[in-house]
Amino acid sequence: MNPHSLVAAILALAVLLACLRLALQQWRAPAATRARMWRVGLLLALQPLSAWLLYCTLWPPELATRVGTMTVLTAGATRAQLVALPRAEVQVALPEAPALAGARRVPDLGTALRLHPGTTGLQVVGAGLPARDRDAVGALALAFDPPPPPAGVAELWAPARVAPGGRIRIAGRVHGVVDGAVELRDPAGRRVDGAPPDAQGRFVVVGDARAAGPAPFVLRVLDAGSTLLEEIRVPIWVEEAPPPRVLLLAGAPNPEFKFLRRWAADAGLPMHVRVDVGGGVSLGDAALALDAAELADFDLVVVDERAWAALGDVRRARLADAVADGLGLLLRVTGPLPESTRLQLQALGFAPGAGNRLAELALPAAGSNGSALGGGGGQEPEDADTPGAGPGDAALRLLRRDLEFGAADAAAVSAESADWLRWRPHGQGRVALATIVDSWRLVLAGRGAQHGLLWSEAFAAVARPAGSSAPRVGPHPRAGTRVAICGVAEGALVLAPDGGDSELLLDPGGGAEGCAGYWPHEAGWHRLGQGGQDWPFYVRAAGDAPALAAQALREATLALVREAPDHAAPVAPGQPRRGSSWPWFLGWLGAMTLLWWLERAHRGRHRSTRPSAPASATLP
Amino acid sequence: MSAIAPALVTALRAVRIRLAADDALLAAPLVALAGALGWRLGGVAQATALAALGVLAAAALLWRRLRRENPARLARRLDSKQREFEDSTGLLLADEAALGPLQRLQRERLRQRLAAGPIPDLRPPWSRRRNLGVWLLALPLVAALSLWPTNERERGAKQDPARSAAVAAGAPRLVSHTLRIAPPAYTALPARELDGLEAKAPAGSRLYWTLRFAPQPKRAHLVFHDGTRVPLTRDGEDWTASHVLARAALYRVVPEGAPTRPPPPLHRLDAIADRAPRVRVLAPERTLSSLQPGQRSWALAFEASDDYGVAVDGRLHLTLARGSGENITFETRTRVLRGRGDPMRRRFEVELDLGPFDLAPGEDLVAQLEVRDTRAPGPQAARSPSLILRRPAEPMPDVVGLEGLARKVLPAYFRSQRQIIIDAEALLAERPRLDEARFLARSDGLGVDQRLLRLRYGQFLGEESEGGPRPLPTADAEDHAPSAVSPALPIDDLGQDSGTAPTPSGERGDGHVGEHDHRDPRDHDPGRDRDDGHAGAEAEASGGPPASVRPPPAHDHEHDHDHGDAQVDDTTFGRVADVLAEFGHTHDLPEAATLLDPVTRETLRGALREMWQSELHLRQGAPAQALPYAHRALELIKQVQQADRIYLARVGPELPPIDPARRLGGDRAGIASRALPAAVAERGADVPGRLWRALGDESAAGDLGAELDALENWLHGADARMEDPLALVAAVDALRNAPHCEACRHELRALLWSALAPPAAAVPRRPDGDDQERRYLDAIGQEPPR
Repeated sequence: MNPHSLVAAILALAVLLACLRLALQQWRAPAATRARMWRVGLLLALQPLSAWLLYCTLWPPELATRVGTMTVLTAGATRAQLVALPRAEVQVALPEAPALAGARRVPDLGTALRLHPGTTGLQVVGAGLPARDRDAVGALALAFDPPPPPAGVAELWAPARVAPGGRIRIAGRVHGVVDGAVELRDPAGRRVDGAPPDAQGRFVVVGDARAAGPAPFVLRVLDAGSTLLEEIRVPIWVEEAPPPRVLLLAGAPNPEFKFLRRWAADAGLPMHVRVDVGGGVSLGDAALALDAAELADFDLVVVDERAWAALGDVRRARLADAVADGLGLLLRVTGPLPESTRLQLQALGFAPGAGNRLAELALPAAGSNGSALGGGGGQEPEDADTPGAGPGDAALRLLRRDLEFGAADAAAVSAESADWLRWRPHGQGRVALATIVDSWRLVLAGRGAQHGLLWSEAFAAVARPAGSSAPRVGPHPRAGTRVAICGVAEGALVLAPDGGDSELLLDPGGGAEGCAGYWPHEAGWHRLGQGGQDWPFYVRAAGDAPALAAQALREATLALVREAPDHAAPVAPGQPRRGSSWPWFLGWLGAMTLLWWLERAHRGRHRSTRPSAPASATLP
Repeated sequence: MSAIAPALVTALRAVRIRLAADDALLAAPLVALAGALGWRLGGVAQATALAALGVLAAAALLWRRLRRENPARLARRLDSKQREFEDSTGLLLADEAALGPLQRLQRERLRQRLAAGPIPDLRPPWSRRRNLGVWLLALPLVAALSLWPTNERERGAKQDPARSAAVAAGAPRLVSHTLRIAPPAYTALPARELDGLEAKAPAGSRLYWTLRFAPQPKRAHLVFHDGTRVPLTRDGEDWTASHVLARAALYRVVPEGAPTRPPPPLHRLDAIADRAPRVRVLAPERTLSSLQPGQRSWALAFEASDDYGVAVDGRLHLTLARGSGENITFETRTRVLRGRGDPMRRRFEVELDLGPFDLAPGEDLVAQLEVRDTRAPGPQAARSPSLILRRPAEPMPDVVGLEGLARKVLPAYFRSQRQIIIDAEALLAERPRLDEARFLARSDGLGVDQRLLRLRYGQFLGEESEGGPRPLPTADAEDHAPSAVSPALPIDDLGQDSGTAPTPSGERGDGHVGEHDHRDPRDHDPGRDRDDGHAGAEAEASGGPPASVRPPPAHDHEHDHDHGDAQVDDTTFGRVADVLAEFGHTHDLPEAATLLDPVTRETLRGALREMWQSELHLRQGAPAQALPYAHRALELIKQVQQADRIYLARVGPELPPIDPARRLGGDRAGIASRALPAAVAERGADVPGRLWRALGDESAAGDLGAELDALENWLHGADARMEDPLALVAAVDALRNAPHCEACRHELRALLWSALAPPAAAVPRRPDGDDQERRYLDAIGQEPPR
């Protein structure tokens, strides 16, 4: 017997007894003193009523769980938005939401859903669901009508790490800027580049990296009247990579070789140079046998087609083997390729044409959007070989060998270099063909920096890899918000700018990916240390770049939008829930009070009984 | 007190000691807590103060408590402790006289009992629980307060001013300051006083400092960033100094006895350099204007502006270019103009009377105004652009249909005397291999060359050329005869050289002039004729390549206006100026021959004689006999050359043609593999780069001293190459004085960025893939390439 029925039985018995008592009292009493019928009736009716109310107080009837939609107010929700929506059964407000009447404050969405089980749909109002609440949505239907995002930089891509002297290409999208401009300022606060955003608001600005270390660049968004709309920091980490060891072989000395060697020396690449000058005489470092051990000491072999032809079959085969082990091979095609070379290249996956003709090279301007690359008031190295021509004054026309690469899977490094530089993997290594013929003209035209960038790109594409792959830190980490760091191993440490370090705990459910969560609480450069290597990442302050944050929130929420609940995942049936006891208790109290009053009151008793005391006194 | 009192007194003392110890035990952790709190919030001073306060408070409380511990209380305590005293211990303390007999009796009994046994331990028990609780609470708190990691930088920053304030309490301090700027008189700017210690003033201003210190230092200096010190002199309460602001500088006020760490702040003085005046031409509108027919005067108007004022006097330089072609002489005159109007913006106007200049057609009058500003030591000058007034050249007669003819002339080829000797010797050497006719022909050719050369030199002695009216310096007269005979039309050398033939002054009417100047292919120096026209400095001077190798570039139209000019004059009506050239016949080169000194003249004549002989023998086919004369002629010509100035040609490198015979000879002596020279020169240490990296590494804060020193040294070396080195100096100083100042670091980094040399693009490395990637690459490598 469960307590419910026991209590019910006791109560029923009590009611019965009480009723019996009342009836007996009425029956036994002399007719004169009998109470009025309405009084008796009322008393009799109140007995079961109060018993029932008591029972309901103890076990209030379960509420029927309603199946419906819930309006979730998030940051930036306004009354107007709320009014415009069809009214949902439940309105909850997340902690970020402004105080709006009629919404119930909940600490998070999960709590709200537990309070209102059976909810099948969510209507999100405001900026969007923060990361904390996204998992709680689960398979529910979600409708989200995003508000217009704030004006400013909504999307931003900046390189994670740049080598010194490299180009920093910052792309992004601004929102709400009409006829405005985006400009990039270097750490000295000078404008280095500027671009008007296109119709979609996209822009690309380019800066140049100098010495190693964090370089705080700043992106400024200006409106049509050149007033500042937003200024966000774009910190760039400039870091020196271990320079690749280069074996530079040339079939003849020429300007191209000279300036290539010169740039490589400027960039600090350890080099072994050998150039044939004909008749069995060569200049440069000692001759190499090019065996496996020697080639293992190089990261990149740069060879022109004449030197390639002069290598001989044995050394070419050794070179191909070394490439399969990870070595990079850059073949500079500066003249028409003989048939034999073309056949040899087929073994490396290229089937190039002869390239008997020269074609003009599409060369980007010295600096995009008229940026002052390489300029500046700094200490400019004075080069005897660079006459004082203004950089990029005259359009330079560079030439390349017009040949088909003949490899469908040959990849381009960038769009600008696609017509003269292609590479494809060969084993662990990479082989590239470069058909540019007179890049040295850039140096003579005073655009030495561009020449360096050109070849830096080519070298970087094929050189032997170095260092383990970087862990992937979630986009735009922000203080106070969890960021996912993937690709980490056990024992990775994050060093915060205040000197505190925290060990990352791998998510056991993350699989082989090796993901961990990290909650930065301070803005600034954090360092992720793993396996003796440092991977810096920048954490923005919580209020920094609001448009960027709004866009991220909006996109993440929009990704959850779903018309109907996902039926593949069954909706958990709503748990019946206990109603509140309070109304029942109050009702019971009321009933009892009435009973008590009725029992005590004279009202409804027989009129003659009013002077009861004298009557009773007469009895004895 | 009575006899038993000592025992009670001992007991009382014991009680008091116990109480004091107990309370001390309680107070100690609390005082320590207060001290720790003070240290945390302030520093050592605050900690001591708070701890002392705590001790005082504890002592006061204890004193109050001990005062309550009087003998009466002790008696009550004894009563409660020892039953045998029967609640009467108070009697022991009471005045004996005041006691009744019964009380005395009782007292006597008590005394005995007191003497009989030891007084029980009356000391209150240790309040263990209370003390333990306080200790347990306070100790962790103290530990937490003192050991909790602080933000080190914040504390450093906080401590610095506190410490310096503490140190500086007795050190002289700058309490008031005035800086008066007296700009140089010429600027006419009023002197002004500044509240601050930083100033921006015209260069050359005198700055007067009036400073007050408290307390008074013994001495005080203004120390500039380059190390110079300006002593302050005391004048009552005030300290004064003055300094002439020549260029921007940083300085600090250093009273003797002031703390050197940190040094007083740097102040900046900026010098506004005086701009040079600028001249704008108001009239004429264009730089080159041509003289209108009938124009008698030339109106010029300039406007000169300067930041402080333009001197009233301006100098108008007038240059008259006379002559034409290469034979131009210049006359320069200077006229002083007086400007009108506001000193900042003066107007200089002049109406030049052209009468005295007497411009001939094609001649130029160049005017240029030079103004000065009023700068006191050494005014700055500026010049206007040159304004040219040109009298238009004579219109060219109709030459339609003659272009072909006009160009059909051959360049004249000369051989130098040395070349003739060399060729003659070569001819002699080849003689055995040559047949007679050929030998004669070549010898004769050399004779012709010798003749041409003789004629060429003969001009300078006024000799009549024997060829009659024939262009002399042509390759050979015979070939050219038609051109000379045919009416020499006013071909385009008229247009070029119109100034030569029709000179108004008849003195240069002789065609020799025109013929001489620059028509010689070997004539390396156009300027010579303008000087003296000495022929002595002939091509021999250079001893250079054979003249035949170097065809003169602009020769084709200059060859034959010897007497051609006369014919031109015939056909061109109205040229009265050349009457002499037409009808007379001057036998001398007016500017050359007459000016040769007699000795040179005689030598030249001797050379000509020798040339005659040389020519004679060459023409007769006897080069061997001609050689001695030729040698002597060469020697004499050399003497003439040495007798006068020599002008050498300024010509570009003319590489000799490649001789294919010398290539691919198969001779590989001295050719071997060798190392290449280094591709780049050693570059200096990248000082700003090193500091930039050091500043970027937040963890390595503090030990920047060496880098900062290096940067300062570098700045002194590379001063001129920076936009604003002073800003960098100031930023370095600021950081050095406040090593933990984040803003200073950022500012210095920002300045450093512009000082960084853009490095050559380095090669970024792609990361190594994981095992999965490697397996993938291996797997696709297995596939046969398509």
